[in-house]
Amino acid sequence: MHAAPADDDADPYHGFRPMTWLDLSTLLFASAAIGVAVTAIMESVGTSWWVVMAACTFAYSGTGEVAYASVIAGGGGLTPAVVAALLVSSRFGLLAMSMPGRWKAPLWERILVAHSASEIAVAAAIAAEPHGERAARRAFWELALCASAGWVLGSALGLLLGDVVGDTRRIGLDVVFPASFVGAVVNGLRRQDSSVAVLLGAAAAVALTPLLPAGLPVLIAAAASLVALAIPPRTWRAARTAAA
Amino acid sequence: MSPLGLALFLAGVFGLRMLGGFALGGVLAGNDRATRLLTLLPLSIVAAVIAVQTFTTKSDVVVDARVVGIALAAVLSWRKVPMGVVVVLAAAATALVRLTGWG
Repeated sequence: MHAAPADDDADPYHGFRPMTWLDLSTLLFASAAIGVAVTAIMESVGTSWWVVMAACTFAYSGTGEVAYASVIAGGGGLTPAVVAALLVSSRFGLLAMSMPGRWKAPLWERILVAHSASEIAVAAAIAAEPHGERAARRAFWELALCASAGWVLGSALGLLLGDVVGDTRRIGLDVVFPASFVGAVVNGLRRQDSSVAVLLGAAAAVALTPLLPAGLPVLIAAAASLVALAIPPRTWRAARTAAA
Repeated sequence: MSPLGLALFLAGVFGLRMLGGFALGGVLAGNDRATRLLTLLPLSIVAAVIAVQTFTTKSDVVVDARVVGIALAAVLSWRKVPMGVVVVLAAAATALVRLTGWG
């Protein structure tokens, strides 16, 4: 399925480029910034330093940590906090599910891939796939290693800095995390089926947020990809040509 | 987060990931329709995460300075500007809008 026909805008993700040093260092910085911010939230509910480090390294789910801390901060108990954290992290199960078979990997690598399948690494692997299995593998690990290194270093830095950083919103750090995924999603807009996956998923998640506990809206929005499956997998340009 | 909370959190997230990567991923491999679905699925999830982080605060729908940063990121990404530049400009645009006192 990687040998795309020559006539169709053969590369649906036009001109994928490997990450540059600038991209990788910004990603490292962005992930570190998120780590600092999440550590501050964890410390605000009285989490000891080794728990912060163990959580960021082995759970690798910043949104899960924030969900846990916000339940505790709101006066909730252990069980609702863990449930909220796992609900928010459930998307990582789906992301891990979309990785096997993209390249041949031994068992240890499959375990590491499942563990580090973040939004950004999975999106990069899929975007690189038209260039072959090796490109997909390289893109995945570039992003996964860089993002997790930045995240763990940032969490450690957050412990050292305490609340020196102050309000991270003031310098726009709250858009760093979503902005780093935008490229992958915008690439999806070049094709009809993935446009539906992107736009319907985004709209559903926002619409459901006031109605459901955190995490569930994103999980349900994932079903937008089932709707997108019914749309032909061609680019808008190819569709226009066909209609003319 | 207490040590017990940590243990449950780690076990739960690891379990979810391995369930996806092994039990579920294996079942779907090798089927063309499933392969397409598994390429579309992450796009829906990523778009949903971006949308939630841009348009909501806790459980409210909120339109604030973040929208400007993410909209700029979308335009720049469409024009194939490298990700590093996109992220920095998105944060800068959001910060500038906040300087004007909105959002």
